Amino acid sequence: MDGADVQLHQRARAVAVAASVLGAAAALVPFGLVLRTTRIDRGVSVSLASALGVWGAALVACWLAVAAMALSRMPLRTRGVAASLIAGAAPVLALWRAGAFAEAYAKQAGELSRVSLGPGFWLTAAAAYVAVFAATAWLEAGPLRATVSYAPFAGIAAVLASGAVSGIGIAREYANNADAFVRQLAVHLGYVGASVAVGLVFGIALGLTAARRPSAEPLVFGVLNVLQVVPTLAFIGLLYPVLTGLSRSVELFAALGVRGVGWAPVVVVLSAYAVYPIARNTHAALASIDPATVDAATGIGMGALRRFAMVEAPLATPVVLAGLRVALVQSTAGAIIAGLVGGGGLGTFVFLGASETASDLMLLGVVPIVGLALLFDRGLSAIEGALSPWKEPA
Amino acid sequence: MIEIVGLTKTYGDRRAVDGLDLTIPTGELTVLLGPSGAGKTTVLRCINRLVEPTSGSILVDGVDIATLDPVALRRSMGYVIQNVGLFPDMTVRENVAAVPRMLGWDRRRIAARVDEMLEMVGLDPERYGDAYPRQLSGGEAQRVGVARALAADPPILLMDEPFGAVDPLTRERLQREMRHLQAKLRKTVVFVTHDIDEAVLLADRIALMRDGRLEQHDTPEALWRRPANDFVSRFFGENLGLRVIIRHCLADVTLKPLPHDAGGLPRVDAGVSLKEALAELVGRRARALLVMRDGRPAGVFDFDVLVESLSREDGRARA
Repeated sequence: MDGADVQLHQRARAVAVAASVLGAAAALVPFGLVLRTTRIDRGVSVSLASALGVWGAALVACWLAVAAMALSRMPLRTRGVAASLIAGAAPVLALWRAGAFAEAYAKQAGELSRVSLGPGFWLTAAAAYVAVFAATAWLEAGPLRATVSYAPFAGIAAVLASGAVSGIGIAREYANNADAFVRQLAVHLGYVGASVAVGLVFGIALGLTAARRPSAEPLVFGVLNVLQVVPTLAFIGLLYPVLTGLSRSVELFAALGVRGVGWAPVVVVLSAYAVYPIARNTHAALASIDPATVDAATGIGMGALRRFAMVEAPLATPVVLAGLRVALVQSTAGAIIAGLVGGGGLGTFVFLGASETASDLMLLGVVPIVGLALLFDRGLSAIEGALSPWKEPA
Repeated sequence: MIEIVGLTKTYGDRRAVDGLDLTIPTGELTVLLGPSGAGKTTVLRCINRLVEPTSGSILVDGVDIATLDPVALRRSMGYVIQNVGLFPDMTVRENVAAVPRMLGWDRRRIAARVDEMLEMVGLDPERYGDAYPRQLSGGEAQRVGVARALAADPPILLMDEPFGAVDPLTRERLQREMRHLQAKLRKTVVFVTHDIDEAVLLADRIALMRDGRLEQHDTPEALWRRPANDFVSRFFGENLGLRVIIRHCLADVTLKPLPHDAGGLPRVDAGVSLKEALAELVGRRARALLVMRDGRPAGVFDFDVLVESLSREDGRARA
């Protein structure tokens, strides 16, 4: 083990302790769950610790245990597995018991009442995410680390599937909107897929152009930079007359359903945003290839095409994928705006919930977006790692 | 044989190479030596057409390389550069296999050749074969670079300051191994360096360049004894003789006969160079050394022997 490893392990210790403190605080803050008599009632907040009774104490105990392990001299492997499993168990436990609490509350306060997950719960989830991330740094990369990293997600999925949480507000909103949810999720993913696909094509093309012709670089990134800083809504507003004009003058566009509002401006705007990170990374990846490598490749007799296919493209791919990852996460979050301009997607629930002051309905839109963003981030990181075994493991 | 005829390369107003005529004999190691900016690297890169000359021509075995496909030409020449340029995403084996793969060798032949090459440059294929370049030291990386250049057994090897970026100890070891390798392989090697000691140790002939022109092209011994002009003698300085003696070993010189009481003299192996023997004399403050050949005393080396050997005509067989 070298110095860098030791330093990393020490830092993970500090991060795990900080996350534990955050987790314990999240269990104790007085807005863990929100109890409402009706769906749109402002409600009263209680802490997770007090609402969950003895399980609340267990939740706090989990965090104390994680902090204690982080500071202990336990062997790295044991410490990493135990701490990440316990930290990962905290939100699973909180969710499961909150479900039981919600059922009990419904019996007492009536069918119209709601129990919503409050900031305390989301903080618990965030703290667990950070703590697991830190604790898995004590483990060697491999199947064990992957298993304990993803175990909490499996736990959450199991609790959701068991129906134990069907009494919680967001689950009830889901039950009321299940068909619409599936449809809007598909629309949302459609936006992400379309914009990232366009981003990939243009991003790689522009990145390559900028790398091959340094004179084109300021122009390419100048334009992309400007696009990047135009706020989403303003961008859609600017497109409105253009797209309206197009659909009026060109029949094909009209037939496709291109209008100043709806899906068309959303796809254009998200695509424009998605180009930048991919173009940037493509350019950076090619520019960062050691000139000696290119010289050697040419000198041992690789033609330009073969050199690109055998040397430059494989070296650039992980970096381009990192750009794709940024674009994916950005588009996933950005596609919320479609809900505001009649384009559908998960944003529909967010804006509808906001107008009705039904916070659980907003969460029905927001939580899957956060989940998708995390999923894309994790998934692509894993692919990047698998594609670049020659690099220092992260 | 590589014949360079009237080679000129200009960059704007600057003449990097200025009407160079040079013949590089087959099976010899020719060092292009000179101060920086002398045009050495440009000449080297013209030979595999990484640089296209402004005028003049280069013939390899009588064929003008301008008439050949540059990519095919490069595959027939090994190429080693200072910064090695290994492919970071490929293992050591894949790096060494690069040219044979391009030439379409079958898998088994490539695998056998790669292991043979790694062993030849002193790397255990078991231990290093699956390593990635980032896991290698500078010296190990350059060994892989040499193995990659030799993998397809090209008759010509182009080396551009190959040992310039490694630490002095490793450099010395690599130089010595290069010398043994070349004694065995007898490639036509063009070797660029600005390091006089490296040039003297490795070269069959040195082509000394200045400002894109050839100042002198000869064996190190001849450059020492018969410098063509002032620049040549100034470039090599006073002690070129001291440097040249590294090329000759005790086994090549006529030793003094064994005296009756040689037992007290410090011993030295006949395989060491005259330079090392001289260092031994100085280091031990001895007047004479007992030279051992195959474990038996073969004669006595002292300062007289050294002077005697130097006064004979140069160009003798090398160690």
